[in-house]
Amino acid sequence: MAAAIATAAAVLPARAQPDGGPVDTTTAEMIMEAISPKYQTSYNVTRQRTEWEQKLDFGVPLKGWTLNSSTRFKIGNDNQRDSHTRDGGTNGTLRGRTLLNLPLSFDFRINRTSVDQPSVRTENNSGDFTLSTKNTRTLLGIRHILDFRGGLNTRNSLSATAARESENRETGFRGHGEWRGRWTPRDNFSVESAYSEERTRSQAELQESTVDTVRSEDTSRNSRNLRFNVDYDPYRWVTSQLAYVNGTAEEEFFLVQSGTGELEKKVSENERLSLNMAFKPRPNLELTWGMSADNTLQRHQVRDDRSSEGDGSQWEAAFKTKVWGTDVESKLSRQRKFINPQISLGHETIFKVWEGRFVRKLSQRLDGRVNYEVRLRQQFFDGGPDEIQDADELKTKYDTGLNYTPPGKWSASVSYINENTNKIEANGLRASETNDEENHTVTIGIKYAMSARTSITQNYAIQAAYTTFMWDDSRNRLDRTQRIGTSVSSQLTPKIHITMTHDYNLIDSGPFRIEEGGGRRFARSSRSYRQDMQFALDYVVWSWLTLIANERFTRNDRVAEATGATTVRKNLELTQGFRIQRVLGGGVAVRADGAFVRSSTTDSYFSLTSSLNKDF
Amino acid sequence: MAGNTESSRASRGVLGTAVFLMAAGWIASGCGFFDTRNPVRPIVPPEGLKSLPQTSPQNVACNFANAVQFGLAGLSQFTDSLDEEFVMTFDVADSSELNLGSIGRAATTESFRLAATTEEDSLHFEFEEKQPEELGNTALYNQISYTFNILTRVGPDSGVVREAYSGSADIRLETNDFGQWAMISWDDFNDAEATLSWGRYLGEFALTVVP
Repeated sequence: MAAAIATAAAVLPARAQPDGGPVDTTTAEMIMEAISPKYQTSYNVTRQRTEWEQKLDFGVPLKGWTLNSSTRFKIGNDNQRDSHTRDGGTNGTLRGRTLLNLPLSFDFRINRTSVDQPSVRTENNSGDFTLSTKNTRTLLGIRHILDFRGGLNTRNSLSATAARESENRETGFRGHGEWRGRWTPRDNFSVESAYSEERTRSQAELQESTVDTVRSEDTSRNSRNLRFNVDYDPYRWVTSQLAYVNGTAEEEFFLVQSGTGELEKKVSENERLSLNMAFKPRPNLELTWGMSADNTLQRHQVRDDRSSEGDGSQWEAAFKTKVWGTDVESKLSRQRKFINPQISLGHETIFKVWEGRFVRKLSQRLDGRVNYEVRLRQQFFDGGPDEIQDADELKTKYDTGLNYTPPGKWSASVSYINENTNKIEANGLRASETNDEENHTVTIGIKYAMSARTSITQNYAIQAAYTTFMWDDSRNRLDRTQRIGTSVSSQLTPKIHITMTHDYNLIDSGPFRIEEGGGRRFARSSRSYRQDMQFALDYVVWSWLTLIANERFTRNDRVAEATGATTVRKNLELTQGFRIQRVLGGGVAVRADGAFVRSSTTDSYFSLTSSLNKDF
Repeated sequence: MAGNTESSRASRGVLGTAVFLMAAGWIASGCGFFDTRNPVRPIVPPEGLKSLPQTSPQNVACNFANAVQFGLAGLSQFTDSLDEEFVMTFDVADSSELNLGSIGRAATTESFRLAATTEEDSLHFEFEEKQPEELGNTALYNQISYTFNILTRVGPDSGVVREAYSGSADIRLETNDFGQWAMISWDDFNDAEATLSWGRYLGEFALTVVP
């Protein structure tokens, strides 16, 4: 949406030239040419839900002023749940004239959303009208930008349940001032800073269905933000940035929820300091390093359960280079987060990561790779009953692979992945969940281009996944999986494309016991077969219309070894549909995807996604 | 010329630092940087929590409901039921009041952890009996109803409902290539009852964990 608005704004100056219009242009055409509107509409249907959205953007040149406006409206219905939503709004900017050499801009924004359900009804309306100006000056070698805004705000919120209803109405004035400055004494050194402050004073009213009187309060919203950046590049191959951000906000407002309302006072604060450096002495060598620390705080007077405070820190070092023809990357980092929610005891989480990759072209036709990662996540609670959540999780992963791409019709790949996850519950109550997951996976893939139009792909994979519980051998488990996937894709004629795929999975599952010598004795308790077969046909009737037919059959068989009982689940799904994509005359573009889906296990349904764009 | 020498020295310096970083990572992995804490012995027998292999969508749904019932003791199983890409989307009415549309796996797990920490009474979650629409590597519980109750214990195996929640959800599950199922999305909906939904219950906790 933002892109469309930007596009409309960008083309306005060029089109906003009424004097340059053709001699035989009618008045209506001249108006359309001048305001260059864009209209978009879309209509989507998925099972019982429908959604219709419309959007209109336009721009008008008005003797030294320019008006840009965007209006959108969306209606959603869920017939099965009897739920209706409305979401609409319009916003615009009028700018151009100057007062005392200062550019003036008038912005307006009106929004309305509503949700209507059998047990809940909510409405939110808001309107903002703002006059703003900006001034840029250079004094004492510093470029200053002053930005001032002020205006009227209105808010109206309604929350209703079957039993009660609460409504808040608020009207007030807002003022906002911001200073930004940038000092660049040398090409490789600059300092940038910004400070802003905003104040709102409002008259708020609360009306509740359970109370006869209307409660009135004078409310306020104040916020201020400070930003400070220093960029210093001592050498061509070194860049550095030091940044500091600090923000605080205090708000008073009637909070209406679930049919009730209360005067809420909310305070939030945040602060962050960071330092980042990058070294790039040669094109193929790069080293980065960064560290940061932050604090956050949120206080709610009424919804105290939403209050929290926290702090955190992190550092990260990484490099990327090429050594003896091998691309090498590595990163080491540590992150610490502490959060103390009002409704729970504070806890600290630490993440440590070491990861990297080696990629090398072994020959003209053979590529090799080795990826590795070590991740540790630790959670610490400060005493009390929450201590039962203390836990560590250590993950290690090695991924090695080869890709072979000889000239001609064949290509092949092979890989081995080893992944281990060690979960340690550092507390007695949950200690029984302490376990070690060990996965070994081997995959082989082959692709063969039978002709310029037809190719076949086949993938084979085997995996052994062991889960070993530290304190209870009887819960140990092994899942052994074999998988074969086959896909054939062919452009039969310029108009017909077909794809056939088949996936076959065989999964043996069951417990295992660790023997004295360290070996594992597996006892299969179940065997599952899963098959998925799909046939897809695309027929291009015309360049803008494609007909689609898709048939998909899945079958899952599960055999319990102990009883011999077999569970079979089958499903056949047929989809017939179309795809339209066409640019019509007069700047109209249409796009639509529709399908009728029939299934052997569920009710049939339609799905439709459509949109229309019109550039006037 | 001087510039090239300087750059060459710098290259060697940076390359040295890079090698040092890799070596530091290697040493760190062997010198305690990635050490975990020592496991402790369970103080209660490992029984009660029903934990099924995630080889079918039904098993995942069953594990999820059981995990909620066991509160903090079921936290690991709760997390395992959710795919790493999991997203919970709140009902539009709840989104409007919470000012929060959806949360990912980490925030969902953290919200449940807070909920399980806060509620000292028993939690009970139950899905309606329903078969998922299974198609290849995806499965959908379309409009599955659920109830979630917070119970005050009145005996070893009995309790009275202190707070009741209900709603419905579109729950989509996916399996990886090796047959392990997990929930990929949960679209939560209010039902016609006056009670709040599970999504709303969790969403209230999410407000303290989502920045």
